[in-house]
Amino acid sequence: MEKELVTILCVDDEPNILAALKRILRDYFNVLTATNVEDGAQILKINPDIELVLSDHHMPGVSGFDLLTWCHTNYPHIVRIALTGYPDSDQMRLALRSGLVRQIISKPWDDEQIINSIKTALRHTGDAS
Amino acid sequence: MSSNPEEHGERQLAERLNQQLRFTQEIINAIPTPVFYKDRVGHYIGCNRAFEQFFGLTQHELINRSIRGINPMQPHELHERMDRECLATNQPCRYEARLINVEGKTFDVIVTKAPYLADKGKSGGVVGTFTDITERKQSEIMFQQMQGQIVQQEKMASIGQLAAGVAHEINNPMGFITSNLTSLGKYADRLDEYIAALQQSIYGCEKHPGLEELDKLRQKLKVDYIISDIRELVNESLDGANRVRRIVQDLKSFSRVDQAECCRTNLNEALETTINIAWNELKYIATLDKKFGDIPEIVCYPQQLNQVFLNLLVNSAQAMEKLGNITVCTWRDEESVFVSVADTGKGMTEDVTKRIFDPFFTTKEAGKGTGLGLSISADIVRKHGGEISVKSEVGVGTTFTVRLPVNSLLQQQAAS
Repeated sequence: MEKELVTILCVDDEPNILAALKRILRDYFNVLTATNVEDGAQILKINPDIELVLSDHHMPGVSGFDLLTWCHTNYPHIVRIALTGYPDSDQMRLALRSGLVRQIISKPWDDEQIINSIKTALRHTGDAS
Repeated sequence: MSSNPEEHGERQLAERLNQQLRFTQEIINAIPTPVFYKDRVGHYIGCNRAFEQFFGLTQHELINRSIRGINPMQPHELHERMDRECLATNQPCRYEARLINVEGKTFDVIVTKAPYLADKGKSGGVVGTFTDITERKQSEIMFQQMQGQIVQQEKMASIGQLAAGVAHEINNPMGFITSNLTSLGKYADRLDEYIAALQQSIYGCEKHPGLEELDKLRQKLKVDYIISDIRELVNESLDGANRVRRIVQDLKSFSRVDQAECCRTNLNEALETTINIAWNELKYIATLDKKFGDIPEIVCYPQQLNQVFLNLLVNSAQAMEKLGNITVCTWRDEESVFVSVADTGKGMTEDVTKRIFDPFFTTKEAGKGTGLGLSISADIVRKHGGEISVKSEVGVGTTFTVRLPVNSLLQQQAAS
């Protein structure tokens, strides 16, 4: 029987970015996408098997940070990764230090790197208490 | 003592006149501002004590001589012209000038002159004074320089902000362009494999219907060529996308908006970034050689030093009248790190090199450049505890050398 792929959620306000992410990740994961935080939250509510959220933080309307914070509160077992064009900002450093996100991936990303990062992050969920 | 009443009267009169004369002379001498007076042809007739002290001359040395005759170092045309103007218009005049005393010290002054009448209402010559405004002028220059620096820094800051914002806007689409091109390459590989398998299967079967038509179509659509070209097409496009990514990275790095603070920097890397940024200015007019030595990291404000290096590179390019060469070298000794930018441009005369770091001094034509670049660069280097120097030869080229202490001033300040 074919091994079922882990389900992950990608959130970014640019549909082109979501499409590109889906292309490179679909061979390894079951990729769900949303272009804003409200849709993302909705998807999280109805898909209990989502194991990882990859979210841009700088979005019009509700920011990705708010989604990640909400996720942290309501679904603490889901791995959270931020995707950002400003990896060195104070905000990002704080998010990393406070445990809001496990990892930061900067834009533009490297295809190989993003796949490995997600794989590694998922492997460690078993160890997390 | 003969007491002829007439002689006595004359003596008393003479005495009173002398008193009057002495009184007048003493008044002039007591005036704390230098006063001088000349005849109609520009020869000095006299001066007061303040004038003597100012120039280091006595009145005696002055009388009957012209400016030229007294101090050959003193520029004289302006003063002689103003003398003539006063006499011709019979009006006082007032102008700014530079004076040099016998020790060679220069002063900025405001001179006021007026014609005076001699006997019988004829024009006697010119009397004048001057006020030392050297200090005031220096303060003015310093103030303007500070203003210029503030404006420049504000410009750089807002350009930095703009650059960071634009960089981000470019990064986003570049991200998925690169990713999609890579995906496209992979898709093409798989299609290639499939088409090859199809072709093998089709051509393996001699009696395959429509073989001839398929063949014709394959030729018409140039399928073989396309398959061989897709890989290259994708690779070349990825190359372009990577170049954009790198230049955006360099721009962000150069403007360092996120890190306008002090930090450990490898100057070779900073120079690479700055050269990339400047490349568009340089590539048409010069070849560039890099001779980077093994230099330690130093604590500095990389954003500011980048500005200095950019200034030197752009100046070099602008000094070229035809295709030339710019060589950037870095090296160290025990106490310092050195960066030199050498060009084969038109070079500068000694007069120009002496003033090249003065604020507002520029050899560029009106409207081009503010003349602030090098004075600000020199200031930045000084604030880092270093110095900047220049060597130049007309027709050969110019070399600017920046020296920065290894154990930086800023590091010491931070430690204290």
